[in-house]
Formats: sequence, structure tokens, C-alpha cells
Amino acid sequence: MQGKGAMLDKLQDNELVTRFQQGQHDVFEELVSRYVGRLYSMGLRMCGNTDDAQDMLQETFVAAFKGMDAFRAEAKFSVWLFQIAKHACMRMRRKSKFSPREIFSLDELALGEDERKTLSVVDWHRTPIDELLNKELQGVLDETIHLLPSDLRMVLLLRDVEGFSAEETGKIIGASVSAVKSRLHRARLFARKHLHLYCQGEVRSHA
Amino acid sequence: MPDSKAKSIASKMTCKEIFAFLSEYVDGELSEELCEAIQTHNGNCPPCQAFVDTFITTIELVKKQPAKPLPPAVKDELNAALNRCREALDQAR
Ligand SMILES: [Zn+2]
Repeated sequence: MQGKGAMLDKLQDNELVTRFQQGQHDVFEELVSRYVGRLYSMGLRMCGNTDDAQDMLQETFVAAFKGMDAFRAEAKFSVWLFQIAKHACMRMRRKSKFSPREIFSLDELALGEDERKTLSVVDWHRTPIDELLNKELQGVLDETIHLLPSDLRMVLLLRDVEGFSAEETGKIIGASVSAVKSRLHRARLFARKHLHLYCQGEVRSHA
Repeated sequence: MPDSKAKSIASKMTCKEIFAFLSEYVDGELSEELCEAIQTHNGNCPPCQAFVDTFITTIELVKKQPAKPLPPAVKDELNAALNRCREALDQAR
């Protein structure tokens, strides 16, 4: 063998898939190293606990490994992999007892009369992002994401955390682009509301 | 588009209508006309402006979510599972 592996990190996902399909099965390790962190993070945020996230991760990569020969070159590997992960997440969820609380209605997420009066006072949007991203706020953000119903949470994670396009997200979850957009909008509004309530509490507690 | 036309669209937009377009506005998916209409509305409606600002901050915060650390044991078990798959596959050939 002539130094295989040395240059694997330079290859595109789909080139690695081709090598796998030609029998070079150890290239799968390179694909795992590219996606293991992202998939584990998503699993943890979707399942809410490390055991389920680990199961989901394992199930996803094992299914991907077994399905590699059926992968079509015109597809995008990351989209295909997250599709598998989405199904694994759903199976995990059916086993878990966790179900999110009632979400705000769209009207409650809009600019209400109360907020009309307080928003300019709170001013949390004027704080630089890096200053906002302290440990406490990170916890609040985790909680916010955790409180979203799973279909909204999945879309928020795929679009805003993973950076998939609306079209790719639709492929991953099996929904139309317009459904993706509407879920993303509601998820973002919910997150904004939750952060606003938190920041408002902060203002009050320091008063 | 002439300024007057943007103003006439904006003057008809209610706060509630602005609210429905915000994600597309932030994602750069709206027509120039609608963007201008929203900006004009917000210029005259401080609460909507503050709402949009906090909305954008929220999205930036979500986008900056760091990856969760992967416990080494999780990685080890995954590798073990994948090795078993590979052995099975190589034996089958
Ligand atoms: Zn307004």
C-alpha cells in the first residue's frame, strides 16, 4: 500500500465515499472524524442526555457504514448522514419520557403590549455578543433550545447551528422548504422570547 | 424603487406584518422593496426596531453555540462498534 491515509484529510466527502465503495473501508474513519463532534452535539441537544446521544451517535454511524455502498454520488454526504441521524433521534425520542412544555402561541411570541413598554429599557441587544456569551447565558441558551418542541428544535439546530440551507434541512427532515422556514421562524421567536424574559429578570434583580 | 413607493408600502405595514417577515428579512431572502418597507417602518416604530435587534442578537447567539465536548469513552465505544462492522464486512467478501 502506498501511504494511504496520509492525504485523506485533503479529500472531499464524496471522494472518500468513492474510495470506500472501491473497497478502501478504512477511509470511514476520516468521515467519522469530520462529523462525530457535530453529530454528538446535535444528539445531545435533541435527546437531552448523554446516554441517548451516545446511542444515537453509534446507531447513525453504524447505519451509515452499512449503507455506504448504496450512497449515490449526486447526493451530499453530510445531508445523507444527518438524515440517518434524524431517524435515529426520532427512535431515541420515542423511548424517552421527556416531552417539552407548552410552547408560546405565535401571538404570544409577537411584540406584546407589555414588551412594547419594557423593550427599550432592557436593551440587551446593545451588549456585544461575546460579552453576552458568558457561562450563565450559555446555560440559558441550552435551556431555551431544550424547551423547544422537537420538530422546531431540529430545524433550529440544522439551520442556525449546523448551517444547512433551508432546502438541505427540508431533505434531512422530510419537509417542504416553506415548512422549514415557518418552523425556523417560530423557533427563533421562541428563543428570542425566552432570552428576553431572562434578560428582563436580570434587570429586575439588579434594580 | 423610488423612496416614495417604499414609504407607501411601509405606511401600510402593521407591526404584526413586520413580525411575520423577520426571519426572511434576517436571512436576506426578502425583496429590496420589502426590506426598505421594514426599515422605514422600524425607523418610525422604536419597539419594532428593538424587537428586530433582539431577534438578530438571538440568532447570532444560537449560531455561535459551541460544540458539546465529546467524552473520550463515547469515541472509544463508537470506534469499537465500527471495527466490529468492518470486520464483518471484510469477512463477508
Ligand atoms: Zn411597529
